[in-house]
Amino acid sequence: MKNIDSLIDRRVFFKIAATGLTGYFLSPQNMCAQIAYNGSTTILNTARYCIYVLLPGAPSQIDTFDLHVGSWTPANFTPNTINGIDWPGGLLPELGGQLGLNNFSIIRSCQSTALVHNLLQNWNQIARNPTSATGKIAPNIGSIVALETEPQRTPNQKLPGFLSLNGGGSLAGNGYFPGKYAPFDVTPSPTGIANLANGDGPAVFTARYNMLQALDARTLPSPYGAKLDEMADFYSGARNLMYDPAVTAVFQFSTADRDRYGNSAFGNACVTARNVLWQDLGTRYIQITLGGWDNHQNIYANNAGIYPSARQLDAGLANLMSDLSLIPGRNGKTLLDDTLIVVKGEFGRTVGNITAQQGRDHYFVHSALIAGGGTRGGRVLGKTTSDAAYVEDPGWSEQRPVYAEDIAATIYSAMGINYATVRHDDPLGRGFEYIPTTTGYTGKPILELFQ
Amino acid sequence: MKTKWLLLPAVVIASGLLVSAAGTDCTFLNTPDEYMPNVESRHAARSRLTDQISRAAFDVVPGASALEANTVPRKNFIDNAIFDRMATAGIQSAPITSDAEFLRRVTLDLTGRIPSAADIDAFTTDTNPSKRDLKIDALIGSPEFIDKWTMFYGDLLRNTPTGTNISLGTDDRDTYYLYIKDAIATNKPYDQMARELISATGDTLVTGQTNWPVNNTIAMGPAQDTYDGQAVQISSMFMGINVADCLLCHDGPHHLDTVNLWGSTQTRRNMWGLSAYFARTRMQRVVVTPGPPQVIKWIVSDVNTGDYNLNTTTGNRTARQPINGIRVITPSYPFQANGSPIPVGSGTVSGETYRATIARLTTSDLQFSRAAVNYIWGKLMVEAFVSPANTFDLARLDPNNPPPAPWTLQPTNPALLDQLARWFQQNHYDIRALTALITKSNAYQLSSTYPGTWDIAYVPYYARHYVRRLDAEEIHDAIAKATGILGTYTIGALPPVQWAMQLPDTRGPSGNGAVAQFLNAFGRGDRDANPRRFDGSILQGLNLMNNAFVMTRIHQANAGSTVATVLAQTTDVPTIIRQLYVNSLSRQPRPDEIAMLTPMFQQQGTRVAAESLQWMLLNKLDFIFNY
Repeated sequence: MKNIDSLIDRRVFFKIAATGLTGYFLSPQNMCAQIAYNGSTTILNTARYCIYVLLPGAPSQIDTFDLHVGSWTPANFTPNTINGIDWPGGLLPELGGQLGLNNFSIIRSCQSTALVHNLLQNWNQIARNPTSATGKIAPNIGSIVALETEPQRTPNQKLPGFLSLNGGGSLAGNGYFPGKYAPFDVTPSPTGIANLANGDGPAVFTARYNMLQALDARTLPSPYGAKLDEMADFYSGARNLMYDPAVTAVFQFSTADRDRYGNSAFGNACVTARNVLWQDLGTRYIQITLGGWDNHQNIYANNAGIYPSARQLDAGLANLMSDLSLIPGRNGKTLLDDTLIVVKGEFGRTVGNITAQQGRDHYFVHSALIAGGGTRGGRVLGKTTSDAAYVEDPGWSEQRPVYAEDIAATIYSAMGINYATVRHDDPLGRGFEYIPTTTGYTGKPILELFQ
Repeated sequence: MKTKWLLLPAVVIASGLLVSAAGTDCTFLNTPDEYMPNVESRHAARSRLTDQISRAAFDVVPGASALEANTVPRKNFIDNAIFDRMATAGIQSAPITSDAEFLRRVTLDLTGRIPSAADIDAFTTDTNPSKRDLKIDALIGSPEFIDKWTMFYGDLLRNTPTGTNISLGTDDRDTYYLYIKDAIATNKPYDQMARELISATGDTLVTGQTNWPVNNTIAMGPAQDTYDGQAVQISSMFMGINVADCLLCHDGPHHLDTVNLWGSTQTRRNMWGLSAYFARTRMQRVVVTPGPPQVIKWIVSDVNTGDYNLNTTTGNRTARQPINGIRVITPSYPFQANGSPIPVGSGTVSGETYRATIARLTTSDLQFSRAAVNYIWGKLMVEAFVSPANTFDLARLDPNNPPPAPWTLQPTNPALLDQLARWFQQNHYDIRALTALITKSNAYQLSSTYPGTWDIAYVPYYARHYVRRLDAEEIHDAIAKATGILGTYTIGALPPVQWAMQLPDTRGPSGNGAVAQFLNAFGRGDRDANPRRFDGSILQGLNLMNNAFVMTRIHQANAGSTVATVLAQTTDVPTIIRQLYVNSLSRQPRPDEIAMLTPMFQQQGTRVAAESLQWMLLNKLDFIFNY
């Protein structure tokens, strides 16, 4: 385990007083017209933050979180058992170490209801069928979290509530919610994120910016209705992110950190996620995207197939978990206790022998990795049959497979948000449910994770 | 007991499919164009944005008054409809635009570009009383018009290489793009274009319009799901009626009662009649090159057999089971406004394929024309007759037969919408003629400024022109044109382009990821799950202020930049200020702006100040809006 003392020292350094620039998230939005709640709910309120690691392409579950060993399993997977849980120690060694410390749990009874990439990637991010009534207006879970945590923001918290790292084409946006709840999507690097500094330098920039404000000052508040999303607001919000040492620092990291986290795009995102939550600059939900899992062909090929993505996931996620577990959180606990981590693909991959293309195709059954946020680590929830083909035991009180809506309900409940909320400010005029009612099931928080 | 959680055979029924009395389970509804809670709040937002941006650009002359609606000259029947109605309601009109305001607006609206300094100078000094009409004709006849409206129809027809249900691939995207572009370039009658798309047959790599039916494929379900998919797109895209999507899962009553008055009386059985027209179409996927890179295509053909059978229990929609012993749905046209169903099988001409029949029936319906007109009116007048454009309610359109309270007539001006729809039919669905008619009207040419007191209730009267944010591609192209520095982007197999409006979809350019990200920041969407949108974001601010795309174009040292050109021509500060304003904002600076800026030249030195001014103009509030 690497030494984290240096991290703790820098943390003290980072707590710099705010520059005092207000006016970032300005006037309250015209939202919350009417709120209603469906039925009785369990709001756990154990997590302050959520990190959602989306794995587009769909990782093979029997090679990762629901290890099933067969004649197909490469020797370098080095299957072992950690605290009673089967684990591919050779493929995901550092995460194996975290499992040994009981830092995460696994849900093995996840199921999707279709096998189309874009559809299910979207589905998981908006917690409903994208082709359903509210599917086309539904915001990303992160946007809902940003909106719900908005009243808790303090003036020095300048970062958007919802941060996306390495988003790409699969990123679901803010739906019908105002632009301030949109994912702030950036590509992390050790030297910082793009466009936070002006190429002509801070002095020249500041002079220009001030003159620009003066020129545009004639756009005074209008008498025609309450302020909604103003371009001017976004400009001042953007300006507030620039040349702020706290903001600049939170997006920069050392090459030592970069290398420890795996020296990859995903690793960089994990370091950034750690720093962003550590400094508590306003972000409450971070979505990190790591693709490359769609291994229809040559899944076990040397340095190809599943290996590159698995390597990135292992180094990045394990070190993120580890560092968070060493950083103090609220009430004497750790930052990992304060942060619910969800790691999930959109569906699974075929089980048993590999195909004629030496790969695995799409499959409904899959697994998710859950850590922190008040969950108790080191357990498996749900079980598949010995051939991994079906969910044999759902592993929770609802006695059915775990769907994307359940994951979303769990996130909301953990973060103190009423998942049964129905908003009546939607453009369809039919009401917008955070967790939609569907035929076979209604999404529920997986309380067993926390018990 | 261990229970195997069996997956249903083939695919599992998607969520939310049971019929319920509460009406909360309507599971299929297409994307609203705008995410506003209700009409009134949209009008308030429209008013506020227009008020602010127009004041950013112009002084409202103190003491100036709005025009009496009766005194505004009538250029065509649009003006009669608009100004008569305003006069009757006692609402005053905004003044007519100045030349500068008009030229920038119409150049952006018709061609997606800002006018050049030379264009502005020539136009404002032209004394020809018909110069506005002549300018409109010239813009419509320009190559840039083709680019802009190819992009517009590419959005409507959803030309994108990867999608939620099906991925056309870039090769088919290219042929689809070239088909649309050719249709705009040759001013193909819009009804003919629609018929070609609906009944397209052939090879998607060769015959661009065949990508339309292929693109409507619904994956992971029985064939009927795709027949329904075709029906939904005909209905939504070409008729502006998205409730067909709802009705293909369940009846209207108890579901659409507060959503769509017409829809609330319709039946699923009736809407199946539309889907049945697609039951004899086959789309065969062919792997041309396994790759990578893989090249795929489809062969679309019509066959003589095939029915819409009521025999499904799985897939993307609720079960389809026989009704009163009826197991097969005969094709029938579902759209009528008066409640009486069209007799089954009517309209079919002997020898006509099913798809040719529905193409003919759809494109001869007045509603097809209304929807077509509404798209274009909405793009030019900013406030569409019906918004979102695919939410038409057939029971709320006729001013002579208004719906019962609490329902109201839906369009902002029902009589004018119908008048334009009939005109469009009579004029061979000529898109160029329609855009000319609208832009030549004085209704279009009203200023966005409004002397006097504006009331939100005036919005549907079009008493002023409304402000819109530029499309992502327009913003990119405006920056390039204002600064005089164009890029060159490779886009795969098609020739490289210099203007974002020339991109074949909303994901590229594949050859320049940084520019693609810049464009994405302005919400161009993906023509699939994420629609184009016009709201702001912090990322937009950061990009406009700091992105290399901007920062490599504002300096004297950036070869070919407007700053370099202007500084080479003069050292006179007021002239420099004026030149930069005209090139970027297409208008002269106001006296107060010159007064504010002049000291900066003294303080920073001419070169730095000019560069600062160029940067400021690209970040100025009125740069990314059309007013």
